[in-house]
Amino acid sequence: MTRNPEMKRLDVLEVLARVLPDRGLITSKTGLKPYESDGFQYASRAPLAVALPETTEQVQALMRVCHEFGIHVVPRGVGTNLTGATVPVRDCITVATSRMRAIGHFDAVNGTVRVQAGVRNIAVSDHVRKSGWFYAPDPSSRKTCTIGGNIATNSGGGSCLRYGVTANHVVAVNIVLADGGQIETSAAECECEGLDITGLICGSEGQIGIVTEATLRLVPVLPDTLSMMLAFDGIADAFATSEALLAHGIVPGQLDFLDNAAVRMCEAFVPSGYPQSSGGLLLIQLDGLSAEIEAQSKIITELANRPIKIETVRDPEAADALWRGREKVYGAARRKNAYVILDGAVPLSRLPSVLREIYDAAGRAKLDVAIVGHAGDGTIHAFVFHDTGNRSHAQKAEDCADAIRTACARAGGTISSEYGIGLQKRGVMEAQFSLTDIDVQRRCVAALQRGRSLNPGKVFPGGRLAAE
Amino acid sequence: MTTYTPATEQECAEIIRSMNAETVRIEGGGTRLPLCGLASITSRFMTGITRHQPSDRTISARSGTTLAEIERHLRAADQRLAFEPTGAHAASTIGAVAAMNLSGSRRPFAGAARDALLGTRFVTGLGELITTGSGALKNVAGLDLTKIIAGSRGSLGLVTEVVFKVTPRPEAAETLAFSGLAAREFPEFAVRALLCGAPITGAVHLSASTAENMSLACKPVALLRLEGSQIAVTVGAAEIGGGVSKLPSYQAAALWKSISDGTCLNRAAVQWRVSLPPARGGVLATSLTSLGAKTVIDWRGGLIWAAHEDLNAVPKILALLDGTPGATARLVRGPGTAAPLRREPTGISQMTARLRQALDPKGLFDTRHLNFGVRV
Repeated sequence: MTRNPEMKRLDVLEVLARVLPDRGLITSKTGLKPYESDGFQYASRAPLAVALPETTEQVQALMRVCHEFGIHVVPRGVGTNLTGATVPVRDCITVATSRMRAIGHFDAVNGTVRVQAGVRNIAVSDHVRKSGWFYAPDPSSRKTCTIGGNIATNSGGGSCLRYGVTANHVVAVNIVLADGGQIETSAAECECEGLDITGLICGSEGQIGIVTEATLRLVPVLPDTLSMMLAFDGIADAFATSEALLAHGIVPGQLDFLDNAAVRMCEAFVPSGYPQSSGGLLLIQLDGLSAEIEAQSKIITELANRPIKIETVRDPEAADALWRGREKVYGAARRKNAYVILDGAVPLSRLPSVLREIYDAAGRAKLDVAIVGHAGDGTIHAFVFHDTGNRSHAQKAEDCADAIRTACARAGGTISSEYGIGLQKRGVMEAQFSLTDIDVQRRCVAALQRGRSLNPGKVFPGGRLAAE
Repeated sequence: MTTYTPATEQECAEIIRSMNAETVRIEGGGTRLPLCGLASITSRFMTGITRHQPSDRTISARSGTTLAEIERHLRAADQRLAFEPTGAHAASTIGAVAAMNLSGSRRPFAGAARDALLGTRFVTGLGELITTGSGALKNVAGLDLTKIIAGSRGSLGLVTEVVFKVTPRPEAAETLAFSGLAAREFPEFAVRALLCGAPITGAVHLSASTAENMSLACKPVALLRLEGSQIAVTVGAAEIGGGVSKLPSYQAAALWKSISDGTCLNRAAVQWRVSLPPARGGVLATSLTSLGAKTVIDWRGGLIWAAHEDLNAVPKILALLDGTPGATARLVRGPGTAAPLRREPTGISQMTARLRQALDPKGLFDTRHLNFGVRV
């Protein structure tokens, strides 16, 4: 018998309330408001309700209810996602794992720690650092974003150059499927037998299941650290320098670049000592043995291609001050204007030519652009600015951003290296993948989803899974 | 039986499209899988490096390109595959390295082959030619099928091209030997060394009989390999300290290769490769040694090579391997009756079956070599 939609709505909320803890179900209009959107500014919708489970068993129970009632589910961490991947779809239940904050067994010999999905990224390192370990993937939102969200987007930041992305640091996950079934993907082995399902789940944007717990691989804290700023007249000199130091075998913990617009924008927001005249700036963090990083800093100084200023700092507070401008770049951009932010990546040798394409595209569209990025892995974070509240101007910026994403793919790179696809980039997936590639990806998601109701409308062009 | 020899990925796709109900085995250089009476498709004629710009820190090559050629090419640019591909035979192909996820002693410190695999081209069981990943060092666009192609052993598709991350060759390398360390103490010893900041890229332990075979000592030996700049290696070795001797570089290079390949145990009657959490490696190796096995602990405890000359010892060793939590063992050499029970975590086998159905709905690709839950 088909249920009346309103009856179905009331029924599902009533049943969900029974399987969730006190205050674990939000249904009021004001309570739902923060869950209508995420870090992506251009889409919002209120979910039917927000579920806030605290255990894997509660996630299983609520998924069984949603499965039985045929309700779509949108997984969410704390909503720092920048692509609309956690924006609700019509009449969905948003499952926020933000209350799943328990840190479990830390194994100092294996170098692993078990955490619930809602644990903040930074909290993992805080928990294990005194034992000499830390969790390396470092999205810029690491102080607030959750491990579950990091796994869903396979996120990473500047430290990926040295340590790799999230997928390289997840040993196993516990995942709840659409029908409420749960799977532990491996027995915390160094090398699992069979297919790397853990790796596949990383970056699947919540379409295979809801990650509730994970065993994370940690890396040793290195004894010493040193930061450098190298300013150049032009961005080409900055890239020549980063290429030279990488070729020399130096693998910094961080290796970021800023173009002139980004330098000026950051300095205006948080003065950090970046020369405003610099057309290209490198910020470098070296980690290692004291003698090693001292020697590396001298080599980098020698390798620098026509620098106009070099600053080397050992003191941690001075290093924080040097990096502060870069770390606050999102705030600096927000103060300048509304923007579309990109996260494409290209082969390193293509960085200079793709940056030229970006300036050309922005110039043609008469839009301001500021660029920061990771010079060691080819990630380009271009801010394409538009006037707040001006829809046509915003659309122009989105079109320009899509042209830039296409340029990244055409250069042999990717339309997304950190944030994922979500709602924002599904229309440009074809710049990187053929229709057949996309169809095969869809087939695999459909094969793994039990119920086909998890985070629909995201990632794939057209927004529906092949089997729907 | 028929062996198909496509020279291009398009030919490869056509061959697979033309197949219906037959089962076919995918081969690289033909160095590993025994003849099995099945039709086969070999990738060994799809050869050539398709892109290698050293400053990109990546290399792209058709899957039939030999590992030897890739390594020669990278060496000329002072680069290498950091994961230290194992079992390298002159005819081993780069496609097989990806499909088998073959990683050597550097694996816990530099990542596995699957971590370095950035993208692939492969042909599904429906003859679709698919691109996964990208040529950039980081990619999170779409569902990353690269992750399941790595290590899929030819069960999901035929890999026609791969993109691997590469790294510069280090300026210096040193192998430190610590005699007399018991296997049981090794995992904690390796962690202490790792946490002092030394640039460790190899941490192994040899049982007394193995060390003796390798002309190192008559007692157990722990080996630590340090790689990096000269100053990092020198200072790192001093930080580790202890009663240490250094191996000559010519001896060290051959030794690490034989450890990664598992050939350091000579050709024993039966040999296993066991993966497990590093903290348990010392205890299991000790138990195996007490049963008369020669052992090598690699991956700072996470991998054990074990060999035995006496087939009568097999039942006790199998009982030990089958009963060790978190361990998965594979028979490397010996009779089928010595194969450990292979386990797939609960639920994973169902997901694997669904993925196979999605990528190879006609069931063309041979999966018998992947049998789980049975002695093969």
